[in-house]
Amino acid sequence: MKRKLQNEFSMKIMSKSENERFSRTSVCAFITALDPTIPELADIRTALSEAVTNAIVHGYRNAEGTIYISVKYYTDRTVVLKIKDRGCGIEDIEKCKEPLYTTDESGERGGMGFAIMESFMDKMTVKSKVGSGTTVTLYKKLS
Amino acid sequence: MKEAEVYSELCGEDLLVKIRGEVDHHSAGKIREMIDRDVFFYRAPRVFLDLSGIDFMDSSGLGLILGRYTKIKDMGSTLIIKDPTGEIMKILKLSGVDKFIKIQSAKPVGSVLKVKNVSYKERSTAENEKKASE
Repeated sequence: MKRKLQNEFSMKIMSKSENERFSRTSVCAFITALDPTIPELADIRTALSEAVTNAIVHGYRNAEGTIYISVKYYTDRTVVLKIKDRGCGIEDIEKCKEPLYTTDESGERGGMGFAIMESFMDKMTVKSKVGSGTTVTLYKKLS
Repeated sequence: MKEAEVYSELCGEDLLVKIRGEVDHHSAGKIREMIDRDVFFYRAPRVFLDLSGIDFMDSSGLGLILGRYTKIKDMGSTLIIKDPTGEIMKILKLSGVDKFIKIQSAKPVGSVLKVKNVSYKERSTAENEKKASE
């Protein structure tokens, strides 16, 4: 049977670090209707936080911008999160996906953002164009 | 909104630093300042970083731990992670940080450890080798 869209929620936030917590709390509250397990919800919360942080730190380079977040869930209990920015874009997506790759030289960042998103979710796609922005789509099928 | 908090206390010669609240990119800077202030004030030979009170942590927290590990090591002391939650342990395992930072856990963390593993090459290895050859 083909899956159908069951519910959808979208929001846009300014690229401010204080909105990281708000975004993950809101998205998790929306998904709670599906009665996910605690580890499933924790995985989604962490992956979303990574994507939003990336948009703020790398997409907009800590400057002002808008982050678009949409959450959809389907009748087969698949959750799809889309995190989009109109920031600087990524030149080499594959390189950024490599675990431990970081552009930070202070030793204060782990370079694990994409690795966490990929590992904690079932699937991740990244679309990006230099100068136009990045869209990260994350999929997870709940039990 | 609950801010992240850091509590430090001396237990004999050891320094116990407990983080409470949520550790993300927004809160990491402030937490880092608070930990460094106490670490460099007490200069204890062993620093225990108690993570049991953390409600949420993403890779910003991992960066925070790695940064403290390097600073504490450079000071000649040892960092030991104490009681990470299952979710935090998952990030530590995924990054391979558990291979070179000692982790003490009061209770075993079970099936949550099934994560795709990558090995983290210790950042200061190259520096240490350079120092040793000098």
